[in-house]
Amino acid sequence: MNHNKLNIILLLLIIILGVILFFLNLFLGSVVIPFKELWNVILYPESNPTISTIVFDYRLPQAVTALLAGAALSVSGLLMQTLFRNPLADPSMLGISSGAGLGVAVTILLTGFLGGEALSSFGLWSNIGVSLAAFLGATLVLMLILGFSSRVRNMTTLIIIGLMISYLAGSLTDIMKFFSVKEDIHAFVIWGMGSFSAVGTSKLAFFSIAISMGLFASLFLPKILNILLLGDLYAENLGINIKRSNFLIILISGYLTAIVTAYCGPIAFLGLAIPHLARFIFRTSDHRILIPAVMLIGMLISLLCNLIARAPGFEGNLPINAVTALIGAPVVIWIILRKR
Amino acid sequence: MKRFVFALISIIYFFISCDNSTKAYDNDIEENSSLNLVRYAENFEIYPYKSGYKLIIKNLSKRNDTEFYLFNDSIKIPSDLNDKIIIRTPINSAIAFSSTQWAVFQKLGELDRVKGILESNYTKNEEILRLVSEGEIIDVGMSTNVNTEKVIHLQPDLILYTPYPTLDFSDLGKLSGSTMLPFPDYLESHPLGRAEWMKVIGILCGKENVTNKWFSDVVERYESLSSICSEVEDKPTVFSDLPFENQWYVPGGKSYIAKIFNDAGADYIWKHNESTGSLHIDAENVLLNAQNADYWRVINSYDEPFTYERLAKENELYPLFKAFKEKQLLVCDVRECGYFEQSQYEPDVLLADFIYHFHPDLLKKEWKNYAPKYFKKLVK
Repeated sequence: MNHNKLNIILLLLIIILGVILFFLNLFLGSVVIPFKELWNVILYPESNPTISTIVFDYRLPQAVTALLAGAALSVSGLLMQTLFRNPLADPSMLGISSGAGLGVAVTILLTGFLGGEALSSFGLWSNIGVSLAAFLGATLVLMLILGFSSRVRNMTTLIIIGLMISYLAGSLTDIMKFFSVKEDIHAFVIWGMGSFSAVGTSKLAFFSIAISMGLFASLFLPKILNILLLGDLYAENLGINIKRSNFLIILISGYLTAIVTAYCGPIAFLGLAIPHLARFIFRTSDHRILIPAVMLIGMLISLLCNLIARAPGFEGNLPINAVTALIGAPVVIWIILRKR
Repeated sequence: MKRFVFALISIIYFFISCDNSTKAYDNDIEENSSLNLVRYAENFEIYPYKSGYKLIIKNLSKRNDTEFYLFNDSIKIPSDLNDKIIIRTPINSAIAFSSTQWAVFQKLGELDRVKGILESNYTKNEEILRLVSEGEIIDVGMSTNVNTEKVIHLQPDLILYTPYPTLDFSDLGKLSGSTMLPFPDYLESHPLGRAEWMKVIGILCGKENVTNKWFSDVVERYESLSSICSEVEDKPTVFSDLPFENQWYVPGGKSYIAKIFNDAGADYIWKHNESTGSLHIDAENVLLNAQNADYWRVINSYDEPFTYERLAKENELYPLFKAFKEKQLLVCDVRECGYFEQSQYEPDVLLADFIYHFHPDLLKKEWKNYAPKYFKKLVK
């Protein structure tokens, strides 16, 4: 069988699995809904308003969030790994997640200063405080990194700067947590564990549009990424403006991470693992295949994680971060061992 | 390129800020009585309104207060309240996020109206545990991780929740179609203010006469007890709490505990502090200020037996305190006495407990043979 045909079959297989997982996400949760009832509600939403609310207003937005967040983080991870030519690179590498964490911590500290009653006293901040704060923090770090990227040619230097910013944001966050009240620290810890349920119906439209824009933009990158794989000198000889393309890649990757982190918390592991999974399954480093592949595999794994996190028996939602690494780490180890 | 980035980011901010609309607070509705039925609590007000009540819950910010109109089932709702939040009493079903909420339902014998609670594993209350195990009450998770599906499935009339600045429950109300009633009782800095929140549950159960009577009895007893200590000259010093994860959090100088200490004729070590919440104080400062305090109030939520020996093993600083050396620890075993759910509504009992320890000879007449309910001296 020729290679292209095989790739298409593989992609189709992933899509089919994804669709099945998507429906399982609607079907399974802590409230047990018989399959017949679910089918009935999908066809006639009016037949049982309670079940319909659970399925369409709670499980559906969560599944869509998982789908988009999984795709976004995986693409972001792939871009980082190619840009830095480092298999350990992931979306948190440039300190963007830590920046988001810092944003959340700052608002929590402000609440402490204003007598433990603050977030809601900012009016606008009241309902979306945590998301907005996280987004501001992440954007601030992204701007810093973009600023540095136009000065620094060497990508290793940029990684070190990113790591340092990450440590800086992390230590500021720790200092703020130290001076916060217990309840707020708990809220911060929960945010840090990641969740696909925070987006909800009200913010889903914005989240979907924002993520789709970033994913769409990434579809224009394969050519640049493929050339970058050959090395900077070679790329420059081929007429690529290295600084500009680096800027573009960091912008798209950072933007996707910032949006996901703002709404779902710092979700680890997917961004690191999915690109490896994609390279293993498709046995290629051609980004024309890898980009759609990581998107689809990211969606698939993310839906699987969400399903496990909400499985009946784990009262409530398990933190997404606990699940992603729990099922992801063994898979990656297995792949790496088989590859050798 | 840079311009493009800024434009993109400003668009995103715009969308995020349009994401939610804030409701303006209007108070154009006439009150037919300006008599606030609440005497001590600062975070809610109750006014008679036509043949029902208007309940105002202060928001954490103290700016956008939330109004609720409560009418008995049999009463026709006045037509001018079309766009207001109406609660029909007695309510049929509620989820109570905090034990301080369901405790009043229980005391009123109205637990069958409570369909869901949070964190049932933290209580030792036998009736609650039985109802949870029988499935009459559903445990819907933790305050930081509420099981939304179960809440939607229960579809209660009302969700009583404890608002925190960093927790957002607005989606929960939208999805379940339930009325969300914030219950920030923990913010009250007067012990009687905390107890007064029983009035809210009283109205919700249609038993406001009962809770009003209970509350006025509590006030009467509290005031008579505090009056006997008002003249004491010789005030023992007292401090409070054990460190949590090596961080020492103590009640602020304007907190309800500081107030009870003062009313019981004691000098609280941090009485000059202005905070109504808790203070974060490092161990050195605790030692510096509290080492020679006469009494040490401790709340114990561990299962293991609580002894001086075990405490000394837990933290080598403890034996340095005078109260520890002289065995003057006043300990409340929360699992034994239902401290977290009940003591809030019995500030008179809490006060009597401390007077019993600080000034035993002052307890006379009906208090003569008083045995402390919550705080007992740790002897071993």
